[in-house]
Amino acid sequence: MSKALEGYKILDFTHVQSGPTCTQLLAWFGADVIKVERAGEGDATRGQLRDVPGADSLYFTMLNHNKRSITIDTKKPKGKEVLETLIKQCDVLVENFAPGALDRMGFSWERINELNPRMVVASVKGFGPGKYEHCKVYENVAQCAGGSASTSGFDDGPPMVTGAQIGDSGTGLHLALGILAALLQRHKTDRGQKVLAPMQDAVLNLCRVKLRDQQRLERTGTMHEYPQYPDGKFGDAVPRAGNASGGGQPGSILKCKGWETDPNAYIYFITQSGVWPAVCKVIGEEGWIEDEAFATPAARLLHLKPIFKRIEQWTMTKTKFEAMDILNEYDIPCGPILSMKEIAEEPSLRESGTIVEVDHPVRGKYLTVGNPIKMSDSPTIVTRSPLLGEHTEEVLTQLGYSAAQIAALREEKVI
Amino acid sequence: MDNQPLSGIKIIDFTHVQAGPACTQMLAWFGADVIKVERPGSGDVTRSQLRDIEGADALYFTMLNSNKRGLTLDTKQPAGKEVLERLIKECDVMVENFGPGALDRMGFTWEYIQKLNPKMILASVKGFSDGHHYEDLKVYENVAQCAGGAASTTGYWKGENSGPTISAAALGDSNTGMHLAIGILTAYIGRQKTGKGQKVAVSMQDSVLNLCRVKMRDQLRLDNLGYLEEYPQYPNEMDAFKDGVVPRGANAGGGGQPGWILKCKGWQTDPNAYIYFTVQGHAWGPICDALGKPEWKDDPAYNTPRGRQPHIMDIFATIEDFIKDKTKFEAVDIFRKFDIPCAPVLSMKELLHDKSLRASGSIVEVPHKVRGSYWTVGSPIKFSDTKPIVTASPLLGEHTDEVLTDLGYSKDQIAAMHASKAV
Repeated sequence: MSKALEGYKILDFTHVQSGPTCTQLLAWFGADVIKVERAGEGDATRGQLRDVPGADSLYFTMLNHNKRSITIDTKKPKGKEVLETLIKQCDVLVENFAPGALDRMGFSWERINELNPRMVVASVKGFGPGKYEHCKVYENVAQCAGGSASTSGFDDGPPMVTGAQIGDSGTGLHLALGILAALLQRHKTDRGQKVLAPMQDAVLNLCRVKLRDQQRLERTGTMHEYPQYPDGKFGDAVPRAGNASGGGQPGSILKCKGWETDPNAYIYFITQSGVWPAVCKVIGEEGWIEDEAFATPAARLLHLKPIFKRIEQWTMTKTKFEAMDILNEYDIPCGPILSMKEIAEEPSLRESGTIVEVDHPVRGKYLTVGNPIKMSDSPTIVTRSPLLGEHTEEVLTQLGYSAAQIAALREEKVI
Repeated sequence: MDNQPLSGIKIIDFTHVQAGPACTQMLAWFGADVIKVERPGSGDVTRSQLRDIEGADALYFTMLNSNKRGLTLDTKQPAGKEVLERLIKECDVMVENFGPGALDRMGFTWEYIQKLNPKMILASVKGFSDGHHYEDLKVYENVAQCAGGAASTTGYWKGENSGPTISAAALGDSNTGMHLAIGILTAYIGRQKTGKGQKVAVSMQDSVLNLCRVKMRDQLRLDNLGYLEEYPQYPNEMDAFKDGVVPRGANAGGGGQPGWILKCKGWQTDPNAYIYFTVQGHAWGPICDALGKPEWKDDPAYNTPRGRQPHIMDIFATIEDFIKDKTKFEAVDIFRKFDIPCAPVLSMKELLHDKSLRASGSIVEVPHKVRGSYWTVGSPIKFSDTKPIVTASPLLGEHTDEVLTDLGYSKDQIAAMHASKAV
């Protein structure tokens, strides 16, 4: 069993979430990821939202597994020299600095290319070229700029951000994809290149079907699978669709037993056309099987609200798991709303390595989300995040620095 | 096409609907030769789902299958099966998002695929991962969002519509496709050393959860501390933390920086007249100046994050009052001068017509033989040496003869297969 990316060295200049997600994934696949941090403080997330005083926060530990940490002060000439040596020996440099920061450090693309023509330089930015390219972007800002907020939420409410980190982690994944493609191209060309993933674009890439809907709306003026049809009006932009399914199969989130006190006592329910008779049987409305008003998908679209209301009367008599067991027998697609607590405790996810427990020398054991990508011959072993500067000496020794030189660098606070 | 990162890589695309097609489309944009295999006569169901032009492939299909070649094949017929075997021998990757076990029932078990081509990488999208107690469930986008923790943590915690909420972003479908593409390229790089293919699988539940990593972080913090200080429920509605489950945080920032969606001029009629506003610590002084509240700069109830948190909603209301006569674009232009992270809530219409996105190739116009030209979301990943060129999705079976000829079939053999409806 070998690690697919063994042998690749990655210079990780990233911090907070988008970049660290990307390099963590590459580390899980076997790349040697060297995280460069500022001496003394390091990645801001080490101290953000701390739950254990004095220990790296979960924010940091859950996004920086399997990496090595080296501290360098790149403002000092000797620190710059260490960085130059690293650039010469690594395959990929990943960064999510504010626009222009790398240039100001003296490491323009031209300079990096001169030091190592095979280097792939990968960047996360908020926006691509254009009016907003110099703006700083956070998760929710990206969700608003990428079309997700505008189309999420209910038709009578404001735009809504999603709890999934499509701007940060989502962009990090897109960047990882770009890095792998550039490495494959380098096999043929022997040259590196620049790879860029703007957060706005990465969000939009996941909202592709909403752009589909914009063009359908402009052509036909209506969209039958939206809750605005047939009673409400469509404007000139794709509206928010609440919990509707958005595809050809109508769906909704319905209350289950206990919803009054448990904010997650809900089930997603899809009235797939093939199982409509089964749905009618389960909820005790056999008459609807033949009733013209309900018998076809097109007819049902005219009164989805009362249909789901009636189904909800049934789901409210069952817990979400009871409802699911019954619906499964009839092959009716559905899913319980799982809370983070339920997911953390889910045995199947522990079994598959998607939720893993890791031991940390300062904070002790903690849970984390492991690698969602499963490979039959290259299993992922998740190890803990590094302490600040934990591998400084190890990395410098590998770069050829002697013990005396390392001691001198430490003395001068370069590392 | 030699200057493309993945030129030379051949992919059998057995995927349909969204998750799989999003994956193979991205690989096609990077230069891989993607051969989409569909059933003769019908093809991918999205060719006709949500159609906007009678008789033309739906945008659902055209926006997820560009740059591919289309081959029709009835794998239930011996001749069709034989074509698939030849394809397996010649290709590098096979991608599928069938229901669990479907490929086995077609006679193409992993063992048999490996026998035909030990270098083959077999990539699968699943609803739940192998061995999961729900592994036989059919999973759609929103089911994945519910099972992966996104729905539980999205939306309001009180008031009308305070239930779990679905995100418009395709966390279950397109996002899983992106995860699978990463797995495929990783396996391909690994194969350069080992000479052997392997199976790559990504489940939709896992992919959603991978984007909800920070919500898992919050669950663990909540377990340790009993509350989450950056959530809007803190400190005035501590009951929200009572059951020990991460609550929904509506439009809050979620990180160390409080944020919210604020109304702008015209919100009464325009559902997208809003901006996102982030209160970043170091920008507090400039924010106070911009709002005309210089007295807040030295007031301990305002000048630290901890001081602000108990009345953060009042602060947002003050900012909302300040921008009530400004459009979202005007408001953003004012705030960006102070280095305040903010953005207008852009509608799909605004994005479709966005000049910068068109210039960068993130929104592209693609000519299509039947439906005329259409717009699509191009590659969000930009390379300095390669610009992915987006071409149209294939008509059903458009490249059947071309692909069969590549595989060495003669004209007569191809004609016979057409006659028997094997292709």
